[in-house]
Amino acid sequence: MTQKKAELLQGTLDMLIMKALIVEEMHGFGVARWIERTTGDRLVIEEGALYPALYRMQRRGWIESEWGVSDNNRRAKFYCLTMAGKRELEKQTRSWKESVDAVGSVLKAVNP
Amino acid sequence: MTPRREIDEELGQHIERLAQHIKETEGLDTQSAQLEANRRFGDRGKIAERCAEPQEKSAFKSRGKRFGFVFNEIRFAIRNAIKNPGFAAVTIITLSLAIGVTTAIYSVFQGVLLRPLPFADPEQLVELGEFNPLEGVIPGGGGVSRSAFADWKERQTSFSGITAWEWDTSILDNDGEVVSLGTARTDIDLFRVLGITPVIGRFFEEGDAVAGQQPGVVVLSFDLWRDRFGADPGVLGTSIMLDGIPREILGVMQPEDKAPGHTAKLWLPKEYRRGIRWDRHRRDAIVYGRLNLGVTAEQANADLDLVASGLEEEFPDINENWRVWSAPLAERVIGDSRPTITVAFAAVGLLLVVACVNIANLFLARAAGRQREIAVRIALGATTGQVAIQLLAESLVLSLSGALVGFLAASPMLNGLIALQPDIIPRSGEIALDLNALLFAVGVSVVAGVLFGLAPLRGAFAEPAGMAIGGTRSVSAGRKENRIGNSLVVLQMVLTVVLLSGGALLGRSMWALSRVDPGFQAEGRVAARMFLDGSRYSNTQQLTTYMEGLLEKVASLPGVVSAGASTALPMDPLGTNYDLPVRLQGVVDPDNQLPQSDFRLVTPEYFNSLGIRVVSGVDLSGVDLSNRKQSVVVNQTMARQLWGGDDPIGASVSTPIHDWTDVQVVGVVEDTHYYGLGNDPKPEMYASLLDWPTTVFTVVAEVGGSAELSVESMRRGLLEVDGSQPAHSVVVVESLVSGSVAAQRFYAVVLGVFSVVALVLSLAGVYGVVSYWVNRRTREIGVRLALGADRKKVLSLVLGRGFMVASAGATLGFFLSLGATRTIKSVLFSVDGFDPVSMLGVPMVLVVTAVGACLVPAVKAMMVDPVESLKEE
Repeated sequence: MTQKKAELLQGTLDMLIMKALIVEEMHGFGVARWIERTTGDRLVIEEGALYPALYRMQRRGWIESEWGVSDNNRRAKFYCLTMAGKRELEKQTRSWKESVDAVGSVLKAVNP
Repeated sequence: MTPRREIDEELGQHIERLAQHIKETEGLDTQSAQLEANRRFGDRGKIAERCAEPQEKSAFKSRGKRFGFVFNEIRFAIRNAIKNPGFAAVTIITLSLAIGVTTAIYSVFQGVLLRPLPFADPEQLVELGEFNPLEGVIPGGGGVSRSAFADWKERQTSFSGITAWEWDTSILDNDGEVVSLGTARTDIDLFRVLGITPVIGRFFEEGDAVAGQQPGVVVLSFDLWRDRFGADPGVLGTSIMLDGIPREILGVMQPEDKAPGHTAKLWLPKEYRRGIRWDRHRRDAIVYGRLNLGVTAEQANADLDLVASGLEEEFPDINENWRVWSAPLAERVIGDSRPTITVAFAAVGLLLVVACVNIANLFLARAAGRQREIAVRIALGATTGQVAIQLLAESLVLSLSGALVGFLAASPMLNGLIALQPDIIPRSGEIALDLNALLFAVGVSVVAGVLFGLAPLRGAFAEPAGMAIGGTRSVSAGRKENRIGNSLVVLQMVLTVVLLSGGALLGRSMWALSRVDPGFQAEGRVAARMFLDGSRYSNTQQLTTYMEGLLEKVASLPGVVSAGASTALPMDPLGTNYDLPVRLQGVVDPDNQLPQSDFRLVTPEYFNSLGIRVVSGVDLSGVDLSNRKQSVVVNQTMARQLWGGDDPIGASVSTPIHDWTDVQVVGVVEDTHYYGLGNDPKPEMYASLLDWPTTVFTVVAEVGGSAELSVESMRRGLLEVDGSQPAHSVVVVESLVSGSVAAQRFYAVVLGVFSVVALVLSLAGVYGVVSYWVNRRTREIGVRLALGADRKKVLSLVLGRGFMVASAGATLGFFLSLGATRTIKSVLFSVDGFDPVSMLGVPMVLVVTAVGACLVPAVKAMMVDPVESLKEE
């Protein structure tokens, strides 16, 4: 039970990160702020948890990284989405929507 | 694989940026922002490890770095508490009230009533006495005659020792300063049997008690030694003048709380041996025994009963029907307070439970609000361990600050309580905070806080995180939690009803007591208790002359309106009371069952001085001097009981004091509540003190102005009459009246404080649970409103919710208090254990105030904006 939940949760964070990176390439800190901003501060990113996810996704080939210079002229590691990542994002988004719909229709159901 | 150095650099940059971000958006200073960024980021080393390793393993690996992490959590918890001042304040106030009040009250009872006897092996000690139901002396009521004690001592086999002592007074002449002091005349074995040692010097030995021995010997009380002799060890062996006789100081007694007969100022040896036959009638001695090992109190009682049977045969005219009673000494000391102790402890326990329930509820209600926050955190990668530690840190910070405030508040609360009633709490100066009780209260409250502080976790595990994030939630989990909250509040209400009912009953009882007419005027009266030296005033003529001179002197003191004297003032615990059989003229009672009457000797001006009204006939001032000795005045109760509706004036009665010769009833006076406001007047008969003078009496004077201010002039005036006969004590008569109800007042105040605190906590509980309910249903309410529901309906829906919870608690509480208040019946006056006003009024008041407390969340629910509420989720 716990195991299954963990997978689902991990998936959620991956999806959010990929969604951020599809817009533009950014560093980890930027990803965290983008998610916060877009959700109207309702989702607070677990800052530390971001990086293991980034590295894992990189290993899976969904994203790539490159050292560059940030807007305030400091060294920073930027991430961008690969083609595989784009496909993965589509796949995960579809399955997320399906599961939300399914759960939603259960909750909306009127007792027979 | 990315080099570790590179990962470290990346993470470091993130934290730096985060700190900058926090600094800009949340207005913290650089250092705090840095710390906060570190905290939010989590365990950096561990995260770096997880980035580097392809397989993510257990959440906690390195124990070494956790300490700093916990420290960060505590900082965060404190900041969180400050950000949420309402919740923090309510939690801390609840905890500190609960801990402070319960510990203070417990300490008082512990100090006053439960303090173990200050003697060696106290469980072996019993008090013994004689009783005779036919003469109205019940077990526990009578003392022992000197001769009987001597016989017991010789013939008993069950005790390793029995010993006796008696109350007396002595006049101490300390370099011209003359004072009358309470003394204990003791058998020389008293200290050995009780197992006490002197502070300095020694106690009595064989030979010390031989009558007429010069110089005599004496043991000083600790107080007297400290106050009059400067605690000088050099007083040993020196002599003091007592009742005109020099006595050598042998030793100093332990301080008051460790001394037998603890208000005595001096201990004098007394020889307990068989006296003249008549001595067996005077049963004045208080007798203690120490049981032999393995002998029960019952066996010892049976043993002494055998001795008593022997004495019955030996002295049938004196000892017939006199049996022996015994009781554990500890029991005798606690005496009638047992029901009160039970009530007090029940009250302490109930309040502590109510407070813990409240804390539980507060945390539960808050848990509801945080469920989503926690679900999101877990969804975004926080481990449950991290969340648990955060919650634990938060509840610990709150619980411990509450405990700390309570800890600090307990001592001032105790002092306040003692200051409230210094007169009835004996040895109040020595009452200390009971550390065990304090630790217990702190422990229980903190455990409750921590336990329920973790409540949000349960919710987080119970629901799939996706749903929590999605905004819907498991209805069943919510219901379950609500049910726990509701039952907790109902429990709280039940206990509060019990406490409040008890408080209300005692309050009404106090009110009824305060409206009782004592039958005399206490305001503006001063009383002086006199214990004269019998050797100075040995005949009637000397005594009468002294007394007349004394009354004249007192009447001439500035401000004094009138002055009288009596053998006993109403409600004065030091008065001398006689209980005599009365024979009416012409009535022959075959069974010798004569009516009993209290008998007091008074001077003619006594009734006037104390404001006791003459109902018919005249008082003793209206009688010729020649007839005064044969005249008596009776009270209304006596007139009613002995003569029914007939006028008793002119009737003839006789008593043993008058040697059964007839005396005339000349008047009827108002009843006085001699035995306290709560007790009915008994039949009373008054004869002339000036014609039957005694060495023990109380002078009472009506003064024009403040009674307090006249105390000193009274004391000095009395010394001017005879410099060697000081008043034993001079008191304001009002203090006797308030003293007679002091115990009831104290318990009413204690239970009053308790019930108010419990009420406040319960109202907070109802408020909390209903607010929680409203919060959980903001969306539902929004939908209803959007679908056109009436806002007033929403209001009544929420209020109805509060009403349901409150009335369930009130109803259950009503039934429980029916049984519970029976325990305080014995301390109630003129209020039944079932008093409809209190018993029904309390639950109703509780329901009304509880619904009132729900107004805030109800109005909030009514103002819900449907659009906002739907968006929010």
